Amino acid sequence: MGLPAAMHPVPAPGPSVSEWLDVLEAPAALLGADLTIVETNRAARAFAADLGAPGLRFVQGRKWADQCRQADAVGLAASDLEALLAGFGQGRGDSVVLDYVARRRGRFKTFHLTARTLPGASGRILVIQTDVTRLGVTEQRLQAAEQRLADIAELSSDWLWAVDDEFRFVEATAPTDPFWRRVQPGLIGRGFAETLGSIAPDLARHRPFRDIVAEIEIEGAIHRIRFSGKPVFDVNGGFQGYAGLAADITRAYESEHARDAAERRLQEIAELSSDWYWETDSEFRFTYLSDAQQGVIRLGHDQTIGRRRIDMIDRSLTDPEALAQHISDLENHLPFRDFIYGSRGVGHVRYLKISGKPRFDAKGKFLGHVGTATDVTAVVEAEKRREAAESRLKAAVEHMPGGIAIWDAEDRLVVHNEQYVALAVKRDQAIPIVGYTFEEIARGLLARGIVQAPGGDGEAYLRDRLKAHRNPGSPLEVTYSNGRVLELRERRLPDGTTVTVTSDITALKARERMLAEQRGLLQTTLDHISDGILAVDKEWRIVAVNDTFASLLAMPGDVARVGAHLATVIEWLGQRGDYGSERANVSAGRVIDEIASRPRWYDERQIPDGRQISWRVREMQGGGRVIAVADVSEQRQAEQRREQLRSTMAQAQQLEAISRLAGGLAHDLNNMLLPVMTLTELAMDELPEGSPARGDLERVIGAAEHARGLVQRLLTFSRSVPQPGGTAKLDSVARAAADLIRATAGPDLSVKLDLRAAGISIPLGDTEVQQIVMNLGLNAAQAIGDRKGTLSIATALIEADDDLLRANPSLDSARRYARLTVTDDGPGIPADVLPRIFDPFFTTKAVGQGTGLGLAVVHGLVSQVGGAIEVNGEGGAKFDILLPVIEGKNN
Amino acid sequence: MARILLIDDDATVRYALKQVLERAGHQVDEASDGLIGIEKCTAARPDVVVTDIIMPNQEGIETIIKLKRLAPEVAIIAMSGGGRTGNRDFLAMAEKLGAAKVMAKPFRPKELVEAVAALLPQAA
Repeated sequence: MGLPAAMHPVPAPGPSVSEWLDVLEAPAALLGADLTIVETNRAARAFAADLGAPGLRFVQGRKWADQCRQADAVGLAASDLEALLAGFGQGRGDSVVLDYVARRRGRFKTFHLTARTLPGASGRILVIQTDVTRLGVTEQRLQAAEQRLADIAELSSDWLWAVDDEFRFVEATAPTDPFWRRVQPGLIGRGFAETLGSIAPDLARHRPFRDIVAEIEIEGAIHRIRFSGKPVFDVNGGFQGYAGLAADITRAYESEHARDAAERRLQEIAELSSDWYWETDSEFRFTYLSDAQQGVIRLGHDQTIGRRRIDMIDRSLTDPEALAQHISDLENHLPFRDFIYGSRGVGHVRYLKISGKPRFDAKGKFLGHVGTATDVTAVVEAEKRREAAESRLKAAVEHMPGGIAIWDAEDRLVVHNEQYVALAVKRDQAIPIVGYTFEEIARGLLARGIVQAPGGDGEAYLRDRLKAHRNPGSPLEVTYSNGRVLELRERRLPDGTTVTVTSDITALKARERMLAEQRGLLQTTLDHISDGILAVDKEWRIVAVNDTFASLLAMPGDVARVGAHLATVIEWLGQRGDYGSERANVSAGRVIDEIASRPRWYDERQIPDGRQISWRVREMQGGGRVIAVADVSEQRQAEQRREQLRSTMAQAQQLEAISRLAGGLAHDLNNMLLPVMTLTELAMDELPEGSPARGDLERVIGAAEHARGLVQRLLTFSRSVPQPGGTAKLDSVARAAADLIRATAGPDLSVKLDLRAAGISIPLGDTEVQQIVMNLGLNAAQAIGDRKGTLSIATALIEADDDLLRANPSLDSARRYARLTVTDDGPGIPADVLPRIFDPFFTTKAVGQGTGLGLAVVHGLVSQVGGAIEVNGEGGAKFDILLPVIEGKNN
Repeated sequence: MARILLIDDDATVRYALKQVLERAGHQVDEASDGLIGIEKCTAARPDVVVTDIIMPNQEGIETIIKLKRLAPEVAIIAMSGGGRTGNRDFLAMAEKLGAAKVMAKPFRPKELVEAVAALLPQAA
């Protein structure tokens, strides 16, 4: 140090500037010539880090001027601090001292700032900031007035006072003195001369005075104040005012114990605003306690006077920080307010709130504290209970399975549990929470993408969310970016508090989604089933239905809708007439009871458009029923066709049996008739001419001849039973048959032909077709009888339309048909006879005129080839014979 | 006078026709079925055979076929009461096979006597 660097090629390690600065206990900074802070010491750095502490911060790299603006100085402009060093730059002096008071967050500190240029350091300035708060404001003033006090040392007085050069009170010491505190407002600013009129000549001459008693009115009372004072001059001898001591001697006037009385009064007044009044000495021992405290602490004066309060404080019941501050205030002889501590009296705990002021004697010597105390046990305990209740609530809330948040009447979040946050955010996300309003938090969640607004419309979501929060109602579902879906339930309590409960329904939603998918799948399946399906629950409410159900039943889609009762469907069908016109108001309940009576139920009924609909009802495993409806019209028609075919076959077989029987019978009968006729004739030959027996025998022969005729017809029928196979051209056979009929019937019957099926072949042989035409034609001729009449024979090629197919189930919609129509204008066929005309051996003709087999043969032939016959017996007979067409190159 | 063999399974029919033919002066032998008829015919060589068609054992059609082979000079009259098997016309068939005359039962005695007479040589 101090040696030129060049003389030490290898510089010995010595303390650096910063190390050197660190030796200083007070914050210190080294400034460059440009007034920039180039170095700070450890204390300065520690101080700078304590943001709560008032005072000037030294931060390396900053300009001194910038630092000054942040000094929190009270009654001292930043410019003063700037000016402090500005002088250095202009070469004025090398050392400056400045005291200033700084305030921050309600804390006051008094600093002594020393700056000096460092010798041999090319304009560097060292600034040291010393905290002189500990000295106390009064102490400083006393120091400042040290000289003056020395001057008036011989004066004995109570209070220190000072007036300026215009004799106005500028100071009335000891602001902590309870009495002076009351007197001071009446004194400061008041003219000294007018107060002490009698000494005015002395004052004017700037001479000292002594024991001048003045009567001053304070708060309506006359106080006698004794003043002694000396003029104060500056170093240049300029008059600056007076300073001196004063004492209130009112008490001395009034009684020997005037002071005690005043003090008692003071104490009583103090007690009005608190529970009791206390005084301690400079060692903090109680010197006085008003009686009221005994009722609270239950300690007698002998147990309190002479003891220190600090020894009576129960640390376990007292906030350690507040206690440390209190001890610091006491040791620093500072006033304090509202320090609360706990104390164990006789078997009970008390909380006391105290405020106090230090007392100093005229020379500034600390005498102790005086103050008031209030029993705040009830308040503190209430507060503790409240805290306990709150912590219990918090604990309870924390252990809830879902998220809980409680908002106060101003909608600020008061308390929430971890779940409330954990459910909403990802692990690494944080959200603004306690102390913020609901809206702020909701906006925050949205802005950070933690909440996903449906459809991406954030403002709309917020609007709805806030509305719901302000008027809590049904639960809300909110999707979070962490993939969770939460259900939020909110409730407004009578005191304005809102409680939000969140529960994780992600899994539930997933299940719901799966269920919906399954339901969709089921519906798709249902919609593709050809049957109409409807499912009802145990209450007969429709839970599923496909479109086919309504379309099959030709029912509007909204009748059988999900949620509707099955009864509405049945009632609708009843109104339409599905249960018969007399049961339009069918009792749906009865139908349902019937369905309910069996696990399986079947019904078939025709709906108005003619279709046959089957109802199959089956009980489901979990209760409820599934109803399947199907159009069974085709099935039924096919069954009908099968039935008809069977009956046709049976008829054909019957016919064949008859034919065999007839054949056999004819043979036998003929064999029997032969001897009857032959032997009768031989017998007749034996009888003489004119014998009456001859006539009888001739009748036998006549009857045998008649029998022979019958047998002959029987044989004709027997031979006529058709054999399968063969084809015929319908028109040409019909024409030939017509000729035969004309020849047989004679001139009175007019036979008309209208043949329009030229070239059409049908699957029957010529003989069979001829037999059909002949049988029908001869029947007609016989019906017309001897009268004049007309027989029409017509053929046509037709398409089998729906009506025809419905009326004749034996017809095949895929085939074409030829129609042979035979019509006469005879008497027609009576309705009661009509159903039986095709029965074998049924005849209306006189005995001997018909076998009753003609139409049976026609029917047999037509049925055999899958044709059909339609008969109309009104106003003459009309037979429509439908015969399938053989499709081929000729047709 | 002719020798006539009468074949029919029905005894009453045989009796009646025998009466008719004998009164007409013919000599009549009987057979109750085709087999017996053929036997008698080959042995006795009648002038005329009157045969039924539908008979047990051997029916008439077969009998006619055999007779035409074994005794072609014998004249045959076939008769039938009608077929048991429907529309098959046995009489027409018998005619084609060589029956000189076919007759549907029942017929008048005179018809049979005339038919037999028509088959006999005028000289006889």
